[in-house]
Amino acid sequence: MTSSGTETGGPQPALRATGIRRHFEGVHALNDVTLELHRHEVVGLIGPNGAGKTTLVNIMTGFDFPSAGSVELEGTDITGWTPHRRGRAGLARTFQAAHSFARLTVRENIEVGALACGARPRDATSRADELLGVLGLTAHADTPAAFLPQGEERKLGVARALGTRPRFLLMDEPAAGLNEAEVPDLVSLIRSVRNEHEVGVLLIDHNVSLIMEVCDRIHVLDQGRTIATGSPEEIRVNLDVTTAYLGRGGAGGSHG
Amino acid sequence: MTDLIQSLVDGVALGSLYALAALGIGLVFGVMRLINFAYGEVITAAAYTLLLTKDLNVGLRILLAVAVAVALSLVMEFVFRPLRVATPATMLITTFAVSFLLQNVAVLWFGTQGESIGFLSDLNRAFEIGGIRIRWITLVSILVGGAFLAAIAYLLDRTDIGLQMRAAASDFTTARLLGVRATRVIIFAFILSGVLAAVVAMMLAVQRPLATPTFGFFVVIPALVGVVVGGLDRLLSATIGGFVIGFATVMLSDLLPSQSRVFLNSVLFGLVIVVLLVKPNGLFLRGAATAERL
Repeated sequence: MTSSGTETGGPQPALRATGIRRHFEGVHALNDVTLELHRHEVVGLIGPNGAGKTTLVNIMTGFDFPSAGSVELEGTDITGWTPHRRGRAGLARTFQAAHSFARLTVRENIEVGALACGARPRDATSRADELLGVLGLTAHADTPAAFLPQGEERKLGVARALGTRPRFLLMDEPAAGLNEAEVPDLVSLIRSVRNEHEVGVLLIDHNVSLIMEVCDRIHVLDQGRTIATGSPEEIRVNLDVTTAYLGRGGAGGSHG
Repeated sequence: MTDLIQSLVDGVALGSLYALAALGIGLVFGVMRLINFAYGEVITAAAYTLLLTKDLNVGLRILLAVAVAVALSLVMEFVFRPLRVATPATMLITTFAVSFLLQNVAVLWFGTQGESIGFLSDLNRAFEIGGIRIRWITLVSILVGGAFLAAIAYLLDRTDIGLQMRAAASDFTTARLLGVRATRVIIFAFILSGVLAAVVAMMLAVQRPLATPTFGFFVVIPALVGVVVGGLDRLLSATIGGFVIGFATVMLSDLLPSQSRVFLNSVLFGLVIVVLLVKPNGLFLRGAATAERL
């Protein structure tokens, strides 16, 4: 039914959106976009405002459905699946807004995801404690999530997503609201997610320097179409990307 | 003085019962944002089960009452399932409809007269301690109420399903996204609320041994008021609200002169209006609670 491996050639497990189109009342929000994410890599998804980044992520995570095209998770067609079914199948997402369970403690927040994805209670607790350590949240373990500072709450969002033992993680603007000093922490966090948890990360952010620093590959959208894919170096010198950003005065002009 | 202590003891007993009913309503509200007006009919069904099993031994009657209450609660869950995406108004009207439907089914089957349940009536006998007469059922209500409240608190706080219920109550959509099985959590809440309804029915059946179609309805109305007064948003505040209403009912009926007791409900609901005017989020919730949920 589905063929595995396209330009990468092998049957490597991947999250793959193929030929995605999405029309909203005559407007082409996405037009034949294909994106592939492998485990153990960080792919950046960038583009000016209105490029279709959020629509694509919504379609990949089940918050929206494509007018045409398909989404596959490790060879299984998941196009019509609900978000929580995708969650249990190994696809996690973090949100721009924190969405933490305000009254639960920080540790409990992480345990919920672990339990829901089949961990035993004891394993859920040890997984939560491990993630608290990795993300430097141990001191807040027993604090209700409502009392966490914004930066820490963002980390909790990542920890909670990782608690579900995802194989693929879609991060929606993790740097939004962080100050310059907090960005290096985020960079090392994303790297550890990729290297130590062997998770494929799709990173959407307006902070182009973050994207350039941490991504293995970058996928650039403009007006619903893919205008470039490649390594950060290739994207940096790509004329189309420069035009898309500078021409419309979008974010990230400093890297044009 | 002894009169006052007498009233206090009776108030705690009725308060415990209303607290259990309030908790039953609050558990379902927490995971589904549904105020189940038909909860009273679950209590009524348990009472009728006790009536119909008069000839069986007490243990079996208790088991059957719990089984019927849980079964009816699960049927309600199934009926309300399509409402998960409905507006609060639609939910409320539907539970009203189910409530009145079941009351009328009871009228058809059993009539409006009421029949004597005959359940553990020996517990109505009293013992005396320091000049205060305490009926055994008062003591049993307090102990059973306290035990069930503690058991549910433990369950919510210490078990994995309890944690998932609290997460779902805090942010249902996010809980689902993390993979929490919504239906499982909701079914579990309905089962617990069914068990609590049976417990309330049994405690009440001893004291008010007449099974009528509105047996549970008149428990749920004050319990609901308690839930709203306490604060619907949190189980603890809702439960305390239920307790306070039960307690206040007894205290007011004992304090009011006997010819004024017909005004008991007016006084009670008058107090409720004042409370909600002053603290619209409920007595035991901080003002920010509503915003926090959003």
